[in-house]
Amino acid sequence: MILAAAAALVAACSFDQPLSTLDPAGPAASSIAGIWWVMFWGSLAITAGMLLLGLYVALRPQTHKSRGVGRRFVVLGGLVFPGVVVIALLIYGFAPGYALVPHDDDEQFFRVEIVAHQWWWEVIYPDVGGAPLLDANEIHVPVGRPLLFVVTGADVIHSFWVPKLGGKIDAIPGHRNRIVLQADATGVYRGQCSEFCGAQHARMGFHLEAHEPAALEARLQRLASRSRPHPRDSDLPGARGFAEHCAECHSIDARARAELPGPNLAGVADRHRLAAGWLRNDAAMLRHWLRDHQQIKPGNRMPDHSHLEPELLEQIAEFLEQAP
Amino acid sequence: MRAPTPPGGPVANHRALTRIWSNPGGFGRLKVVNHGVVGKRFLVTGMLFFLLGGLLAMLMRAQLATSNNAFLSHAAYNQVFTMHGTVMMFLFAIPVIEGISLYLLPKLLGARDLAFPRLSSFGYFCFLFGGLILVGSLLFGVAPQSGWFMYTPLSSSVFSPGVNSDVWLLGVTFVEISAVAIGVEICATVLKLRAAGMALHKMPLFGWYMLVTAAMIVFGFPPLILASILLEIERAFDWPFFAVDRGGDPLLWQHLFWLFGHPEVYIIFLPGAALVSTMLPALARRPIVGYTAIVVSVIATGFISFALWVHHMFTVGIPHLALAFFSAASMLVAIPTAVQFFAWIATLWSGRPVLRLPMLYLFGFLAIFVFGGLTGVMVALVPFDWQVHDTHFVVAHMHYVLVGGFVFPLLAAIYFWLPQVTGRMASERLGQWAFWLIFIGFNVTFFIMHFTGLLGMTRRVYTYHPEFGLDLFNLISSIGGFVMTMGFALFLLDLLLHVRFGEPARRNPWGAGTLEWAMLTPPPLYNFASLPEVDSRAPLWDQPELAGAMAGGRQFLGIARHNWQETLAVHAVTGEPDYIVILPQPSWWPFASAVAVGVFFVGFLFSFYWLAAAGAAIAVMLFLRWGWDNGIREDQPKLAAGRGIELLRHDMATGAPGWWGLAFTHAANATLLASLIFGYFFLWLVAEVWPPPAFIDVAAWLPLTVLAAMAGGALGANRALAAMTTAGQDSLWLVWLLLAAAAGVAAAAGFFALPIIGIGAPTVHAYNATVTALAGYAGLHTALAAVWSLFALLRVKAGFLSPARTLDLQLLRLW
Repeated sequence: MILAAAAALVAACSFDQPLSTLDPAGPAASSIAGIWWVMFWGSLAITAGMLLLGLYVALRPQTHKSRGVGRRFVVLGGLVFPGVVVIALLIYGFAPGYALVPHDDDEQFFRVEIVAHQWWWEVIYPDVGGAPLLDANEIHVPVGRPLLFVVTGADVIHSFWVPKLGGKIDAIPGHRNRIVLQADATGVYRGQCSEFCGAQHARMGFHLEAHEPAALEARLQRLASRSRPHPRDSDLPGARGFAEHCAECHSIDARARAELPGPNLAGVADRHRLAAGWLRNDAAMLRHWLRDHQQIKPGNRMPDHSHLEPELLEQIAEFLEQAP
Repeated sequence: MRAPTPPGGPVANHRALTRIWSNPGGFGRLKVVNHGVVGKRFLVTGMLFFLLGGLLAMLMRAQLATSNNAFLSHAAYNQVFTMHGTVMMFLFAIPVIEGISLYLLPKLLGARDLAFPRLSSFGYFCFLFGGLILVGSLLFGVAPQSGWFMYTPLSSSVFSPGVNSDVWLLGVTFVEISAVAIGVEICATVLKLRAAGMALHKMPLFGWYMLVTAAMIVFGFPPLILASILLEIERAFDWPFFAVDRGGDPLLWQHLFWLFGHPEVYIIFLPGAALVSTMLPALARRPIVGYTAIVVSVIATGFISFALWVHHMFTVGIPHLALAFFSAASMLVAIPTAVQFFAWIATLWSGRPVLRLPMLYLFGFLAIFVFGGLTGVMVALVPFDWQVHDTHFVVAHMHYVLVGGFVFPLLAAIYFWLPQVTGRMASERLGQWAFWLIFIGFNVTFFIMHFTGLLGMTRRVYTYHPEFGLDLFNLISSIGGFVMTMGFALFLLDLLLHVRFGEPARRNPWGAGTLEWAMLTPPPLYNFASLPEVDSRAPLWDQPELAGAMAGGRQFLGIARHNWQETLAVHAVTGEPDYIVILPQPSWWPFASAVAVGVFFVGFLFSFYWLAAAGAAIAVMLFLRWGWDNGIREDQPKLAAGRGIELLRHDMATGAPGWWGLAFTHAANATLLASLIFGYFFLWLVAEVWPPPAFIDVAAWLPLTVLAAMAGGALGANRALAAMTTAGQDSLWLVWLLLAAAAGVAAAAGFFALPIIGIGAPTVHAYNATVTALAGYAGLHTALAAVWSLFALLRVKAGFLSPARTLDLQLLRLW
C-alpha cells in the first residue's frame, strides 16, 4: 500500500529542478537517467514481491498438510534470481560508463582545466587566441561537442559535478582527473561541489553555459577584452582602492595565471552570478557582497571589509564594473 | 550415563555457585568482569549514545527543513553531522553488537563466561573513555568537523588547525582498541568455550555469524587504526604521509579508511542477520532451513566485503577496468544476502509463525532492508554512482541498509530477549504503536530522500539554495524524522515501564530451542548450574530432559570447589571436552589499565607528550602486573569434571585460551603491518621519483646486525621452550631467555637507529616518514619481545612455570 502510494507520487512529479539528474541535457546524463528508471521500477517490484511473499507465508491459513519449501527454493531465490539480475544489470550499465571516460586526447575535445579552491572554482581555457584565458565560477563551452575537463584541487578535495550533463569527478590535490561531458542544448546549467570541503562546502556552486560556436567565440573574446594590467598602472577612480585592498589576492589580468589565493576578477562584471553561484550578479548585490561577504558566506577566505568607508567600497565596485 | 547429583543437592550447589560468582558492590563494581554485567554495560551505554546520535540527527533535520535556514551555523552543523556519523558507527552500532555478543554468546554456547572476562571489562572501559572524549568535545564546541570519514587534507593540521581532528583520531582509536579486544575475545570464546558435544556444525547460527564478524573486526579495524596513527603523527610531528607537496598522497588515507569502512558495513549487518537467524526458528517453531547455505553465505560475505572498498571511491579517478572489477564484486555480495533472505522465508513457510511483537519488527526489517539492498546494487553500477555519489541518494541508501539491516533486528531482538534478561514481558500495545511510528516515520524520511539526492542535493551541506527547488522534499523528510523520533520515544517508554509494570514472563516464552532459555530468568551470574552435553542444534527441542539435568547439577562441572569460577573448554572443531578453564575473579587491573591508556590518549590530545609517554609506560607495567596473576605455582593433577571424566586445568594444557587470544591478536597486528607496507608501496607507485634523490644509502652492517639479533631472539625463545620441556637442563632456559632478551634489545636499538643513521629527517619527505614508521614499528615490537623475555624469566624464577606449564613460553615463541 505504502509502496503503491510512493509509486503514484513519483509518477505524478516533475523533476526539472536546476540540479536534477532526471532532467538530462547531455548523452551521459540521459543514459544514466534511463538506467535509473529501469532500476527504480524493477527494485520497487522486487521489494513488493518479497514483502507479499513474506506476508503470505506468515499469514497463510495454518494447515497441517503444508510441507513448506526446502533447499531448492533457497537455491533458486538466493542464487539464481539475484545472479541473473546482477549479470544483466552489469552488461546493461557498463557501456554508458565507458563513454564517460576519455579514451584519447584528440582534437575533437573542447578542453577546459578546472582548479577547485576553498570555496570557488578556477576556470582555465588553455588556448584562446594562442594563449590561456582565466575565469572563475563560470564555464563557457560549445554545444553538441565532447568537453574534456581536467580537474584538480588546490587545497583540499572537492568534486566537480554538473548533474544535467553527467557524473562527477573528484578534484584532488596532486592528481589531474579527467571527465568527458557534453551539452546537447544551449543554455545555462548549474554545477555544485559534491565532496565535503569545509566551512562553505554548501555554497560552492558554479554555472556552465553552452553556446553555439560563434556565440562562444564572442563570449571568450569579451572575457579576453576585459583583461587589464595591474591596477597600480591605472588612473581610474577605485584603482587605488583595489590595489590597496584587493590586489594582494585578486588579479584582473585574464591572460596570466598569477597563483593568487582569490578568484580572477577580470570578467566579474559579465558573470551570471557572484559568490560561487550563490548570488545573482547586479549592482546592488555586488556592493552587498563587498561589504557583507562574511555574513553571506561565513568563514570564507576573504578578510572582512565591512570596516571600509562606503565611498571606497563604492569606488571599488565601480572599478570592477567598468570596461577597461 | 547418569551422573550423581552434587553433594548437598541442587539447592546447595546453586547457593555455592552464587557465592563464588557474586560480584562486589560499591566502587568494587569497577572490578566486575562477568560477561552478563559487562555485556549489559555495553548495551546500555551504546543505547545512550544512540539517543545522542538521534538528537544530533534531529538538529540536522531541523536545519535542513527549509532552504537558507539560520537555525545552525555552518560550524555547528559540520560538527553535528560529523558526530552523528561517528557516534552511530563507533559508539552505538559496534558497541551494541559487542554487548549483545558478550551477553548472549556464553549463554547460547552453554558456557559460564567468556574466554577472557578481564579483557572484555578492559574493552568496556576503553569504549567508555574513548566515547566520553568524543562526546565531551561536543560540549566544548571543539568536536570533529571534517566528516566521519576524515578525508585528508581537510582534516590535516593545515586546514583543521584546532584540536577537533585530534579528538576524532584519538577518541576513535581508543574505541577501536576496545573493538579489537572484543573481537579477539569473541573468536577465542566461540572456538573454545562451547558446550560439550557442540561440534562446529551443531553450533547455533549466532555463533557462526559472530565468529565471522569478530574475525572481520580483527582484520578490518587495523587499517583504520594505522591510518589514524599516521594522520595523528602527521598532525603532531609533521611527517608527510598524506601531504602532496612532500611526496604523500591524500588517496592513501581513502584506501586505508575504506579498507576498514566497507567491512564495517557488514560488521554491522551480519550481527543484525545473526539476530534474525536466531529468533526466526523460535518464532516459526521450526529449525532454520538451509543451515549450511547460511553458514557458507556468511563466510562468503566476510571474504567479499574485503574486496569492495573501492566502491566508495568510484569518483577519485581510477582506471575503468579496476572500476568494473569492484563494481562486479560489489554486486556479487547481493547473492549471499539473498540466500539468507530466502532461507528465512523458507523457514517461515515450513513453520507455524507466531505473530507477536518481534515478528512485526522482523517484517519492518524485511521491507526496509530489501529496498536498501537493491539501491545498494544500483550504486554499485559505476556510471549511476558517478551521478548519485555524495548526494542524499546515498544518505537514503545507507540508512535503509543500516537501520533496516541492524536497528530493526535489534529492536526485534530487544523485545525477544527482554524476558530472558529481566524476567518480564514488554507491552504488546506500546510496542506496536512504537513500531508503526518508527516504520512510517523512517520511510517518509528516507524514501523521498532518494529523490532529493537525484534532484541534486549533495551530502554534508549545512544549507541549500531556494532556487534548487528542494524545500518541499526536505520538509517532508524532516517531518518524517520527527515522527520516527516519537516512535523511539515510545519504545524507550515501553522499556522503562516494563521494568516495573511488565507481566512476569513464563520460562522460555517463545518456546525457543537454544540454551540461553535453559536457565532462571533473570539469569544467575554463573548461567548454568552444570554445563550441558548437547547433540543437536536446538538442544531444548531435541533433548527434553536436558534443562532439568542441568539445573540439577547432573551435567558437567556441577561442582563448587576452591572458590573457582570454572567453565569447560572443548576441541575447537569436534566439541570434545578438552580442559577446564578456571576463570579470573573480579579485578582492578582492567580498569586501571584502561585509565593508563586513557592518560596516554589525553596526554597526546593536549600535546603533553611526556604525559602520554608516562601513560604508555604505566599501561605496559599494568599489563605485565595483570599477566603476573595468571597461572599457578605448582603442577596440578587432573580434576574431576563431572559425568565421570577428568580433565586438566587450562594452565596445564596445550592450546589454552591465551594461545588462541594471542594468535588472533597477531592477526590484527599483522594486518596493521600489512597496511603500513601497503602505504609504502602505494606512495612508491604514485610517486614519480622514489626514493627521492637525496636518499643516502644505509651502511650494510646495520640491517645485518638487526637481522642477526632478531634471529638470535627467535632462537633464544625457541630453545628456552625446548629446555623447559626437557627435564635435566635446569639452568639452560635461563641462558636462552637472557639471550632472547638481549637480542630483543639489540634489534630494537638497531631499528630505532636505522632511520637516524640511514636517512634524513622524517619531516622532509613521505619516503623518510614511511621508512621511519616501519623501523619504529619493528623497533617497538622487538623491544616488547625483550621486555616479555625478561618477564618470562621472572615468572620462571617465581615458579609459575614447569615442564608441564609452559603457556608463558608458548606465547613468547608465538610472538
